[in-house]
Amino acid sequence: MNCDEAQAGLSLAMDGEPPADLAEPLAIHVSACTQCTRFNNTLRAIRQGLRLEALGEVPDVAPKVLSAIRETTRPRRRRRAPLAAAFVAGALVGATFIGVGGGRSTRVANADIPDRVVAAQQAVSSVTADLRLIERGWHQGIQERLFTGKLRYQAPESLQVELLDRTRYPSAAWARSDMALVVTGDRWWIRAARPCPVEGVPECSQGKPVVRLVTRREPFADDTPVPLDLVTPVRSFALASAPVAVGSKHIGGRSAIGILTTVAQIQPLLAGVDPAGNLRDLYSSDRAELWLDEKALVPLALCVTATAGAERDEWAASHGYHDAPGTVVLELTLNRVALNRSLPPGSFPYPAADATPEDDNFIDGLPGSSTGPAPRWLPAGFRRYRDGMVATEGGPRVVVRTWTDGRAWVKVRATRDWPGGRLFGDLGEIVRQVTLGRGVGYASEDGTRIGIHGLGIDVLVTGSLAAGDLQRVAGSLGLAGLPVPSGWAEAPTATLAEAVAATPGLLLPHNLRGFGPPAVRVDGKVVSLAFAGPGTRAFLLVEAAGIRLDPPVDSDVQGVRVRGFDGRYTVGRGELEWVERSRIVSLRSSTLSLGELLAIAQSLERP
Amino acid sequence: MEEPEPAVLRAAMAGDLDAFERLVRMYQPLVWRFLRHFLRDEALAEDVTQETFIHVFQRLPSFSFRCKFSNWVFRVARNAGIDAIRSRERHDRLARALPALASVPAPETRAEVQAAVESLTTKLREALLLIEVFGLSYREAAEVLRVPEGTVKSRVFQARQRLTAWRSEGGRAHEL
Repeated sequence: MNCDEAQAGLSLAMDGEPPADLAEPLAIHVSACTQCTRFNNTLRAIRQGLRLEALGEVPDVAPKVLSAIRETTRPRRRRRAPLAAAFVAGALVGATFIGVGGGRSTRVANADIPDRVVAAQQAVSSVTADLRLIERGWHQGIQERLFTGKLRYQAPESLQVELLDRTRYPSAAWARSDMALVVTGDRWWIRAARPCPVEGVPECSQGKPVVRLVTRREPFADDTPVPLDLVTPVRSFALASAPVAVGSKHIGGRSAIGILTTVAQIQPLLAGVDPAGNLRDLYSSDRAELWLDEKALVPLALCVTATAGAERDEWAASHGYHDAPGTVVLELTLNRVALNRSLPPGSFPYPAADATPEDDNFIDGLPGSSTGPAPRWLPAGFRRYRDGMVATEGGPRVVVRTWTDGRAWVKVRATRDWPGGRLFGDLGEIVRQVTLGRGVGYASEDGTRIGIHGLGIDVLVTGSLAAGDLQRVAGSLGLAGLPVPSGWAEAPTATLAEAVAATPGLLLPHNLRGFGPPAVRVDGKVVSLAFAGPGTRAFLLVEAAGIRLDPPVDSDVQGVRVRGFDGRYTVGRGELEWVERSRIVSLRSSTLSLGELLAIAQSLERP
Repeated sequence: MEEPEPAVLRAAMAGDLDAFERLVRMYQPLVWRFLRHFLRDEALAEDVTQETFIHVFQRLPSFSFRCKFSNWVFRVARNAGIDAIRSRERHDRLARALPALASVPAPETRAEVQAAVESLTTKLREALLLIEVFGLSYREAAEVLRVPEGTVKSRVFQARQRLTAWRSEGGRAHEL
């Protein structure tokens, strides 16, 4: 044990989470090491200094808060530019797939692949395959990790993913990262090694695995997802522009087509093989070569290669990785793939009762008086799946109805108990108003969720369909959607035309491909436009009147030239900012690189 | 950390201002303390505490009981704090406050530790505060910060390493 390892262990132990079996070697090391003893003493002094701080008089904000609430439902202060929900904490990106400007011939030949992938999901009723996954660069002491396992899927949402860790570790101290996920409609079960930071390995990887069992699960629940992109990568292609083809070949006896993309775009697929977070992190702009079955568009192979660049180097350093450019950091292969065969009974075995069940509170079946709205239009082939009701303590009573065809699905959630304040259905901070039949609705940035606020009813429509089809489904519910009340969080939502009219000189991306129409919000003089693309690719454009940038609050700021102006880029936040003609402009993304943001910046024009 | 009675929480979610006031009084010391460390400015922390509870009231209907209410409040406070840091008007005040803060002598351990913590980067500071000051578990802190649990462990460890180095060097004025 060296000092870094010992101090990492001391830090964990300080918080009551000492790595298993580390106590003895840690005690031996610390007893003989003055540096680590000093470190340990300092930890205690820090805790004492912070926990015993003199608080003084805590200001009582209650009267002001209640007064503000009574006066208006909005805060009295100027609203700040909101952040798009897409900007979750995560990797930064850097590559060349922005799709601004002229086309490339290689894209033309495969221009219809995104539409074909979305359409193909309806033709998939079952998939079985053996999985083989190789991971490199996870830890300096391990050249590569090997996992083998299986994928079993039966439409619409029975699925089993199993990966067994076959790595030859240096000693028994290294815990294996086995993972198993089994979903059988109303039950969701996962067992996986407990994730721990690379610097804490191998000590912190010991201990009992994480086991979760959810019963009475709502169909297509957000919180207990089924990784359907392992079956057909719909979310990676729903908003994609024509992909770059890398050729064709045979994989396991099947004709395959290869597509060049990025980690960010195929993130939903990658999440399917790592639902518990035990594999290494991947850089969002790293090159991903994805091979799909030529006819069924089911994934057959995936190869992720480390890209070069200062941004990526910085990301790798912050994660403790030492990837050389060109290194293949992850390889996934599906062997012995069989499609649309009937699966034998027992293909999705119930796991052992090794976890306390968590009740998702979904009750199958609807009483006659609580049918909830149903669409008059669905794509051909769709049929009813599960209907039921969710009634959590203190929450609204929600009627849930679902329809499926193969791997494709549509869900309508409706409630008459929504207290308001914001749209029902967790659509995110910035939404896009859409016309639905006789009224209006609101779409999430990526178009996969549509909320409707009606007279005495609030509805959410979700599904795996293309955005246009989902909108058509929502429009066929027969509801007259109303604009949200003025006090709701989404009230500043605007159309692009309204934003342009309200903001002279507004800059907009020109010839932008691979992103859907923006969700727009106008908060006083601040205009926010959220653009979503395939997978987790997204960016936020914020423009406001102003003549200078705020002083930087982060240490990782670098100066850049943007459109001929001096600007800055904050690596950790993925934010490019500059001032142009008395306007402060900000482009922010957690999945696009500086190069891509600069390309978008360069494309900005007045409409 | 204390959690509210379900009946009080449900009443507040339904718009009962008396119930909401009980929630404000229950959590305002914690929120203010967190924001005071996070923002390094007492007056600003009071403003943002006020704003945090207005946000909490507006978003209460969307609280889904899938996490502890206290963690959810911390998350709202943290987001409000980040917005505040980025606000130009407030940042000007903050920028003026920083040199004074950095030059404060640290005659006692407690003041020295607090000055050192205030010198950490935002990411390291917020992770350390949640674990060290408020006693959240790594999992709870990860929920508040919306990062993996491993990232919290790593940030807390880094923060502690930097504080140790800071102390051994007798304190430095610039950000750690």
